[in-house]
Amino acid sequence: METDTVNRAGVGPPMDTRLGRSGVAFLRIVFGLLWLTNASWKVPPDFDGLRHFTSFAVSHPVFGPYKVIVEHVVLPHMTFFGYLTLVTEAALGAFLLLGLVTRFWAVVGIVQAGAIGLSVLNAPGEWSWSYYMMIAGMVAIWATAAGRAYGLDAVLRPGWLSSDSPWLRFLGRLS
Amino acid sequence: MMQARTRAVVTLGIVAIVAGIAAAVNARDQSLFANAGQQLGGLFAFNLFGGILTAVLGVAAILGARAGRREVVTIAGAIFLLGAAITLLRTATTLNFLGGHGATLSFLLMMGVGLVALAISPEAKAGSA
Repeated sequence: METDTVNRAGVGPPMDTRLGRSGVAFLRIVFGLLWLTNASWKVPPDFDGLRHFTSFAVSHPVFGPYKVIVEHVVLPHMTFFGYLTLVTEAALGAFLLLGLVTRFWAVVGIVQAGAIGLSVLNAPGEWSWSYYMMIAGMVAIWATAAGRAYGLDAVLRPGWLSSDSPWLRFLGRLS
Repeated sequence: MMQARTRAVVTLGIVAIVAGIAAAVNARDQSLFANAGQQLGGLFAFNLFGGILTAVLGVAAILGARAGRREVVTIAGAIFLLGAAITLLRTATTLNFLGGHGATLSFLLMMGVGLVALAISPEAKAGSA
């Protein structure tokens, strides 16, 4: 009952056992490492590897409108979208490993995993379930507010929620 | 600094020290500012300077937290963020003086954002949960 009350106040960990919190933290850290390590092969300024995989959205399309966007917007401006991808994925790794503003970054991760899936799902040799699992993992991180289990959200969120600043209270809601 | 924050800063500091020392040992045969650092396992890459700097900043963060000096933790975090910016802008150039790549950027961002957030975020008000 006490834990339930604390959780309803929005400041407690989402899981009420150490094992549960450890599992949630493990999931968050594994996905953080996934994004961190995969930022390594997005190499500016040409982003050749990323361009190769992105072009599958055109050569092996998954969704017609997405193919059009990639063909006419993304690939002609690959340097910009390459940097955008690099920064997004590096930040996903950083914030998920920290457990900071975790729910917001989990949503970003869902969108990014969806974009990757829409590019490569029909590419030869790809195992489509890997992208469904990426999305499922990010949904689990969002649903459990995984940063509140051994993450910085657990430390900083009470201060944000009780702050006079609307921006910090908003940050609290995103965590 | 409150105990939970101090613990969090110390944890991040230990991560930086371990990662920095491992990276420096890994890159010991390179020149100090080698453009492409040595890959550490499947994770990030640093050259010798990048490894040493990471470990030193980890020590500084821990000492700052233990002494209750938020400004020291903030400065250590800010230097990590500067390293992240340099890595982002200089990867694949000859001026990549930490020897990093995208994963290194993510690691530096983690250290910088984490330390700065812990140092500057407000404490919970008395009476709030």
